Amino acid sequence: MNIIANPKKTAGTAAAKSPMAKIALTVNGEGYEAEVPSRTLLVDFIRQGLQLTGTHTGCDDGRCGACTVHVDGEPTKSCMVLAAQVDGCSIETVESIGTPEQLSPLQRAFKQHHGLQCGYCTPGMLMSAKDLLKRNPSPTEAEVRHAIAGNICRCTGYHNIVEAIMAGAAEMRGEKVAPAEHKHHQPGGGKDTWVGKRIERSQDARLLTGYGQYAADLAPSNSLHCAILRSPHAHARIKKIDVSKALALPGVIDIITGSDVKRDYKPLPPTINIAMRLNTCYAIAVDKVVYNGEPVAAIAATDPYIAEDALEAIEVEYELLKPVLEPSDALAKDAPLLYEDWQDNKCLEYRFASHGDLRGAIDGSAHKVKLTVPHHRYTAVPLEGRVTLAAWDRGAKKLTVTMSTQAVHQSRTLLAQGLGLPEASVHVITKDVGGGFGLKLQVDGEIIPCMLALRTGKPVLWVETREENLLSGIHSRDYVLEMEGGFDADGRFTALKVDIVGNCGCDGTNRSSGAGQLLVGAFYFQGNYQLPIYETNVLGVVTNKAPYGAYRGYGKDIANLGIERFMEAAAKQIGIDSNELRRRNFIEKEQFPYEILTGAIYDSGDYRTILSMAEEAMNVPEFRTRQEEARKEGRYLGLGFAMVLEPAGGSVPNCIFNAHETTTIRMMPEGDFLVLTGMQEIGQGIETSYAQVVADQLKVSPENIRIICGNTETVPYGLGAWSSRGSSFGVSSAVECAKKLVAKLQAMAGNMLGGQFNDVTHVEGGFEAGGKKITYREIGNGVTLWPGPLVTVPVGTDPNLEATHTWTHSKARWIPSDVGSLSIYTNHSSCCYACEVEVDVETGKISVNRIYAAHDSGVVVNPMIVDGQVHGGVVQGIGGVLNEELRYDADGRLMNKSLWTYLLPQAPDVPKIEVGHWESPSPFTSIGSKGCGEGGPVGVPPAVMNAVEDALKPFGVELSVTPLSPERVLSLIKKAQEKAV
Amino acid sequence: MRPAEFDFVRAANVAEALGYLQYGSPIAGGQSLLRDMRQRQLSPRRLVDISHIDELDYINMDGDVLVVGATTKLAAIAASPLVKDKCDALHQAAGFIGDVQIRNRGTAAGNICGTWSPAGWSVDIGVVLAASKGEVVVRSVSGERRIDGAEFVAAEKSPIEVSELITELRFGAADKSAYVRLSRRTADASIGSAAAFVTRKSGRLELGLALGQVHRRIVRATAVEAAVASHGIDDLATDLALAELARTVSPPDTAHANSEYRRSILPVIAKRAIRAAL
Ligand SMILES: Cc1cc2nc3c(=O)[nH]c(=O)nc-3n(C[C@H](O)[C@H](O)[C@H](O)COP(=O)(O)OP(=O)(O)OC[C@H]3O[C@@H](n4cnc5c(N)ncnc54)[C@H](O)[C@@H]3O)c2cc1C
Ligand code: FES
Ligand code: FES
Repeated sequence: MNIIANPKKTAGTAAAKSPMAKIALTVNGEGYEAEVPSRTLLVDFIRQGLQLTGTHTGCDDGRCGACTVHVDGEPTKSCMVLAAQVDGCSIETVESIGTPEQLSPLQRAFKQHHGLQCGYCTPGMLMSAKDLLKRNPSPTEAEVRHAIAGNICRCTGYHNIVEAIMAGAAEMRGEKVAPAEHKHHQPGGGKDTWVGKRIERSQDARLLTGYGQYAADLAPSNSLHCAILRSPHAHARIKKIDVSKALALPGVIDIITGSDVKRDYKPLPPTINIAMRLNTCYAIAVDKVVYNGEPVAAIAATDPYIAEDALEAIEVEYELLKPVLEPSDALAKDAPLLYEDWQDNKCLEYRFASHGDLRGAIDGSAHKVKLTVPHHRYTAVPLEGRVTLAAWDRGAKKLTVTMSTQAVHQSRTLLAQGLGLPEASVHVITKDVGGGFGLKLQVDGEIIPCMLALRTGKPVLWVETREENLLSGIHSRDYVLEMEGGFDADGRFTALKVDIVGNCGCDGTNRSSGAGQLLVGAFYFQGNYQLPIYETNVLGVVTNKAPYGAYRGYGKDIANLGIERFMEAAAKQIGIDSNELRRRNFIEKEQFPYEILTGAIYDSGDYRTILSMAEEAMNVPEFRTRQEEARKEGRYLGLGFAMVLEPAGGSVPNCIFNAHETTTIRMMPEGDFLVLTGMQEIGQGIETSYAQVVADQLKVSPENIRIICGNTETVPYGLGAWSSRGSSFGVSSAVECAKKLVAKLQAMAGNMLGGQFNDVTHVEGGFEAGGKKITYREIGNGVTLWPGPLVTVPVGTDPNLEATHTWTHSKARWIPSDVGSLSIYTNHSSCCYACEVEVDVETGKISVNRIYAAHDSGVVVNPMIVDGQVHGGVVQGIGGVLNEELRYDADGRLMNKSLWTYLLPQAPDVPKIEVGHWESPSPFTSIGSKGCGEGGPVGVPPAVMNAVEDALKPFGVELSVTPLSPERVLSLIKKAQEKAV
Repeated sequence: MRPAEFDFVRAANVAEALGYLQYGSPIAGGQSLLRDMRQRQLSPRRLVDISHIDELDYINMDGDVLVVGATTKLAAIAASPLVKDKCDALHQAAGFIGDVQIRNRGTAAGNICGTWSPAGWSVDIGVVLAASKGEVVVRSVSGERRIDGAEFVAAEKSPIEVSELITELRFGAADKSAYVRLSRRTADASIGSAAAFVTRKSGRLELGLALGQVHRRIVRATAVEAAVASHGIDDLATDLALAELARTVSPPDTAHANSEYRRSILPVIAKRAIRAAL
């Protein structure tokens, strides 16, 4: 193991030597002998000792499977085994299966079937799958799902992983596998274009073979390891911190506390401020902690084990304060204040009212409907937590930060502001990211290792534990909606009013950026429907819970859950089928572009069609018969639908979620291309889909294009991956940029061919004029070196072989109308989710048996990737509504601090996911594409809830709480039964 | 987190293990212990690795009793045709535990000890052991003793001394047995489980019934066993006995399920297990 002595500190401290163990083992066929501290976990020996970084960690206690290796041929979680226990054993890691050049059949199947997105779970998944196929060469789908039950994937929804394993097995059995049939409605159909084709992803060969470069993989061997001491209390004053014992431990190099941070650095800068109240806080608490998990001190030590020993040696004296956990407590008259310079605990108050007499309209309606919709707190849990590796070059005065983030540039700005460094002295690099989903969009804990690096002059690595991730890595949802509306006698909306109260935890503006999601919710309750009058009141409240941030949805989830539950309740009250009610209120295909009351402009859509697709797929009449028959046997099946209106491409003023994206395309003298984008690859496949888009414009193969992102010194300032903005901002800026470059190259080509500019036509791989062709390579060579620009480039053309384009959203409107309406999203995708469930009424357990998504996100660049996004989102939606929950006890301590109690969906518990596509191209983007990443977590919760209510109709159960855990469902059934008696 | 420091020795055989155990705690698969050590809820000073003791890796019949050696892996138990044939409840329970990777290292003996670990989740094997009226065989330098399985897993604290090693679990015979388990997800803690062992002796039905995760400890439901034996499963007497048991247990209240829930599903899972074993 890499143990560097610190001569200054260890001199004089008689260091008790760690108990050691001698081990001899074989790893991937090679023998090793080593002496390691006896507490060394096998995973650390493999990753740090042998530098085999294909084996990952996604938890700390055996729950996620990312660390799976084979020990004497058997899959084992290497985070739950001591290196000393496998002395004499033979270990195999993912690096033994194949190479990027020569994938194994199983790896090839993963690539072909898009069985990986971020790739972080993939090595472990492959080790489990390989073992299954050794034991059972012809597994059933259920057997595959059970074999990978111990491997969590947060991205793919397991669907494609299962397909890949089945296909890999068939290939290994020597069977010919017919390519899957893909139904796809597309104008053009991807026949003559790269756009629309299912192209395999370029990064996959790397990610499948252990060649991924996630931030922790890149730590140099002399790195110090950062561990953060976090508050065990929700609300307390820090009376005293004594770090002397910890500092005296051999191997501990530095400890930083809040007073150091306050003295030497700046408060955490705001990430968003739209009608919000900002707090002043530091990355490490100064005299008061406001949530369980807030950093109180941080350690840099030579070894992660020693850093954690030091955590236990820091003594902190707290004076406990009363925690406020719910908005009702926080708003009470003499509630304790989180921020003592505020007058109350409100961080956001906002009101919107359209023209029209809302009260009169509701009171005069034939049907008046009221509904309360509470939704619980949960979070993203990317399989790779937050990781930051910071290195300070004292000589050059430059900080290089390699981090797992969705937004390198905003990270650089926020780090520079928080550290008080010139921004040009901060370089942020992001290579592979093990999932984001909104969680990696702020600089909070991430800045702490940077401070330690500045202080020690050594590289400092912080790999957050899963506990830290759950305690502090931002939370989402947690709100209550009070909805009231009216429908006329025909079931048409007359008016709607929604009041939202959101529990923003301790912070939704600085430590993270979640407060804005309440506003997004408020802007979109109109959903897919025509609505004459609307009013909303938003109240964001700070409490002693973790910071409030983004999780796949960012408020669209709030709006959709509200409106789709409301439609269901209204239909019940009116006495018609809920889909009929939806149809009576839909915005019609012919009405687009359609401006809703709050100002958003819906670009395109065909809601009737996607609803019909879903009804057909679920075969409603057949289902009703089955449901009837099942009820006779005491089995309760239910069918539920939910529409989704998915705003994508956020364009929000006054925050890091702004409205521009820049692409530079640079032709090499050899005629191939680099595309430099401010977008970020986080597993959603832009490396491939952008190459397709640009390839069509340049008329080359995607193989001639390399996409570069995630480096603030290479790519232009861009805003990264969030709000499904890649298909609008990312794609449009790339397309427009390519057009600019083509125009420039065309001028050069014309000149070099000796003809007129007008004569020149753009053809595959170059240009033609007067019957002669010139290739990109000939232009590149000619302009750059042979002979050079003076004779090849026409006067007035810049000889530089590149173009840059910044795309902004032309339909965004930041100046409020007389009633305060705004337009802050570029696109509006739509879906209809349908799901079939079964409820065990004796135990309250719900099984989701079928899910179908009819999906319309405009022109689809790569259907394989889009399907993958839908699959993954659906399973996150299932997790969120059924099992995932962040609960606090009465003292404000988080109860779900590991993956033992934060219940992520596993492969055997989720169904196959069926996807149908419909394409309503957007008139607002360059090629008609729209974002598609968030539909699942947005639409699946209401669809599941509607289905469960349908199943429990005989009991008259109305779902009033989430998640739908067995205990809640059973208690609702019992209450309904008692009421009926 | 990662574990605190400790000394480590590996025992090659039982005799060596018993010697080392004078001043160290055993680690078998480590699938329960290492979690507690990583949380630093347990920090043993010295670990004795018993996982490589081959002489305790076996599954056999001793008359009509199924015997499982202490270092036998859960995966081997779940895959054993002998276990499936003689003790289906054990086959099912072993197959439910964790996931493939956990079963590849975890042992049955470790599982029944895991009940006292701070995590407190290891219950599946203990429920089966109690319902089967089985036994735990324990050895120390001074000899061997047998502990009643149901008493072992019902004890508030571990009934074995620090210097003792479990060498074998003995599962009692039955005509048919079954294990029913509720959990939030497939690879997840049980939120209530029941094992039933049914034997018909000259027309009389004999039942062994034990439940897990519905009480602080694993419970053997003797009153229910008696009610079913004399009145059958569908009799009011059985319902009353189950209701009485549900009233008197003190179920855990955890993030997975609250105590009220566990109390209410107790009769449901008990009956499902009995029916499956009839
Ligand atoms: C991801 C995960 C999921 C899990 N899911 C489940 C589950 O669903 N159900 C369940 O019941 N458990 C579950 N467990 C817990 C655990 O895997 C099992 O309890 C396992 O059987 C423990 O066996 P082990 O050999 O690994 O024990 P160890 O962890 O090695 O030991 C556990 C305890 O038993 C003692 N011990 C072990 N062997 C002996 C012996 N021969 N003599 C004396 N003392 C001994 C040890 O000193 C220690 O105190 C899970 C664990 C993980 C990590
Ligand atoms: S890191 Fe080993 S199971 Fe999660
Ligand atoms: S691909 Fe599985 S976790 Fe990202």
